[in-house]
Amino acid sequence: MSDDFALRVEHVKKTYNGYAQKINIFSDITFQLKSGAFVAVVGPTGCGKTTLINLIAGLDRPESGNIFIDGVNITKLPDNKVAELRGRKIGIVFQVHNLLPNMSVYENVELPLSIQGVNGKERKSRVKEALELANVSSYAQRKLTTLSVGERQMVALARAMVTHPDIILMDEPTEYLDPFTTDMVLSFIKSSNILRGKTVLVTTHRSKVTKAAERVIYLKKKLP
Amino acid sequence: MAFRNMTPIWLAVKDFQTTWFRVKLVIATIVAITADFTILFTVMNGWSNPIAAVLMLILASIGLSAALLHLTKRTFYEMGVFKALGASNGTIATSLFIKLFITGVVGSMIGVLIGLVSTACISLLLPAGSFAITPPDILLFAMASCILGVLVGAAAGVFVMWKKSKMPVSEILVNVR
Repeated sequence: MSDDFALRVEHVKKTYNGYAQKINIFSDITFQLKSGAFVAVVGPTGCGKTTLINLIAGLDRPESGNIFIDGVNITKLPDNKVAELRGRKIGIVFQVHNLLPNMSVYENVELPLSIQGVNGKERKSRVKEALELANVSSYAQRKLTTLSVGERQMVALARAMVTHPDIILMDEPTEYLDPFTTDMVLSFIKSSNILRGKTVLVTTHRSKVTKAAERVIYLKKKLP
Repeated sequence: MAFRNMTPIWLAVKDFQTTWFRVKLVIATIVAITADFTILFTVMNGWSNPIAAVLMLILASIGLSAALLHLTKRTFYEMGVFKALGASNGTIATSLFIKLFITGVVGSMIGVLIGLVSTACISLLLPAGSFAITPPDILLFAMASCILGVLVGAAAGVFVMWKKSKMPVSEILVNVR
């Protein structure tokens, strides 16, 4: 079940239950991403950038419409199948990292591979590779709580890459970072995209990121 | 493929190691509850009073279950992260059961030990013949209540988590952090 597109979003509708009424985030959103594309999604706060990432990653379900990952319609799959596909095909970098604070950097990066049941030797070499790629090898044994926001972001990037995913989804990865770390993240994204052929979808407010992307999708905030 | 079946055990053991401070909290609670009830039961001259014995058994089980359920609550966010990284509900439930079971058993064993020592100390302070029960009886009672509590607590924890796992992962990660 392969597809020309790494990702297809077709007529997706999403609403949330508000206190008094339903909040309509998207009524009909459609786009495709070719394999190896680098696309930025921009728009004002509350326009649904994070929701879009969550829907594509299968962390949430749309009201209607279809989302295809490498030709597989994830909206029709049961939760466990979506989780399994997400683990194999998608690397996610969350806006707030979602790393486990009581684990070391190494253990956090190792976690997706352990969940997939990758054997010890393979796991070790892939974690080493991901740590080096994100330039975090020097503090691999440190606890998350001892790291700065920028360092944590680099760990989150390493964790997203460790499973060798085809698609990388990033939710405002440079949001809380200084210019120097922003450049580091951006160069990581470019090398993942150009050298490793990963399809990258990144939500952002930063012009630096949108300039680097080959295509930009603008989301408008819907009026209530 | 054989290693894949080890994933829940790996997750449980990793979690057990890394959230050690939480585990200690629960173990301390379990120890206190178990020790308290063992002493109380002994003082009440337990086996000769079946109603008191059953009541103690139920209370000890509820105490253990509550302690284990508390541990489950704290691991809800971790469950969200595991799911986001591709773990199935079955893997999460199994790893949680193993973790709760290990915590319960370890806590109970320490609790029973403290309970027995405390009981022996109290009996030394009281006049001879005050107790109608012997240490093996206490051990039997304490073990029975602990095993029941651990099983009920672990099963309840897994059930609560199973119900919560129906929530979208995005909601778990946003609401529980």
